[in-house]
Amino acid sequence: MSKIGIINYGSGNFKSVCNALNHLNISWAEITSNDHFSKVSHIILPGVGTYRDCMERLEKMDIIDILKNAIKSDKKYFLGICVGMQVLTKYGTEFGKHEGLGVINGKTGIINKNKKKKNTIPHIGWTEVTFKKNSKIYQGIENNSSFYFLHSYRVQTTNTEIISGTVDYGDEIIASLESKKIYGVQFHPEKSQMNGLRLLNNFSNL
Amino acid sequence: MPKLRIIPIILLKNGRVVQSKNFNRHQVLGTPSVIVGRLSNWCADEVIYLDISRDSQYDLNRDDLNFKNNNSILSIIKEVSENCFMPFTVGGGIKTIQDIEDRLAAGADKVSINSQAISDPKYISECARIFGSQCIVVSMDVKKISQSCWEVYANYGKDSTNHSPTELAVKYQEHGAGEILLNSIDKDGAGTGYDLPLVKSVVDAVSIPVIAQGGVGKWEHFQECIDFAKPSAVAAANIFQYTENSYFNANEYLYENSYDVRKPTLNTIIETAEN
Repeated sequence: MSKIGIINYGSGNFKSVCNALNHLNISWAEITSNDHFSKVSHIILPGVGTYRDCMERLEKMDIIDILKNAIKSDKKYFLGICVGMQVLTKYGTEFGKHEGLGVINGKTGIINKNKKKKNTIPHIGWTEVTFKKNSKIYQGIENNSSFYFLHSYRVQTTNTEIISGTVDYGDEIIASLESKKIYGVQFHPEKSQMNGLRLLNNFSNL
Repeated sequence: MPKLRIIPIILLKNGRVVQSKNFNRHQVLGTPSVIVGRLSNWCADEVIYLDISRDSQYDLNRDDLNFKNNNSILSIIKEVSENCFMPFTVGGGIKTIQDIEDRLAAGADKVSINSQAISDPKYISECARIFGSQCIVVSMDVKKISQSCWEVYANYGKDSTNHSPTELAVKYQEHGAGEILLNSIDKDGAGTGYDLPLVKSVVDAVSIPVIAQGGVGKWEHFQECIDFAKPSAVAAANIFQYTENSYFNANEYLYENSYDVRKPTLNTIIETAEN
């Protein structure tokens, strides 16, 4: 039985995530339909692209209900990457308002422009993440390490206890979430060199 | 705020890694697979692959070359991505939505669009809508016309467009480009430093990240450009090919001079569950 299932909905970074796991000698299986879920204990939802596109593709694959259930029921570990984390929220406003998976209380909106700090949108590059709690996926990684970000939208939640890391980008932006078995990272661990690989390794060891 | 990025650019021509001068002289440096091995040890911030194979190359009664090259860009992307845990952008000859889909599916993270953006700026909007702005780099090849006047050239620096780089950069930004990759044709391969006023003019004209490229002959040139023009990223091609650990050395140079770059590291092995 493969432990890790990576949802393949045609996201650009699907292959990058697979490559990273291969490099770490972690076995994984591709999830493309409902019956693949029972075979895995961990689910990774990669994401590059828009909120709407991600939801539309998951819908087309007809896996939204089973995915929601798997995340909500606390039976499987879940890691959402970038848009894969954003769609955990109730809705996103990228190219119109679109409903998300709604498993965490929050929404996804565009990054605020801060004239003083001259932040550009999209937020692209290596930014230091400040840890907000002792998350298991950050084990062995120094606080304020840099990770690779590539996004124009960000998650907002009033439920601050689920925030495990932030970055300063105009505002304080959520870099990562942790709520029971649900993990989400706004950055791309599969593209964050050693620290990113460490994080993926930590997730697979949960 | 993000770290200043240092980006090695790998130039590919007909499936070979080349060094370029003024956009027209190309010296073969080796095969991509050799470079790939070195890259994974560099721990670079990201890497850009530009396929500069030109149509004219296909007229040398070498149909095999044409065919091989079309195949090889995707197989090169695949090969690179397997051991490349940093973002990588692929550019060259991208004209359709399918071109982008193919490259992303092969493992690229971003694409760089050049000539197609000049002839059809709406293509950028379409790409941004489908793939997200963060995936779309628009690249410009620029020639200096006079002291304070520059012009963008199309088709690998061959065709005049009558557009100024700032005018096009603003237009690209409006159409949803995520980043601008700014190449200087005059400085390409010269090793005399960036075209500083050019970089500054484009950085000042847009709010999206600008990647400066063309002219680095020593690490001080990075410093010069950062101080004068404040781009989001500094890129270079030829200089990274000369010596072992050149990226690490460049990174270390800027880090030790207190620039806000990532701490220089070399690849280390992570202990996995299996070992």
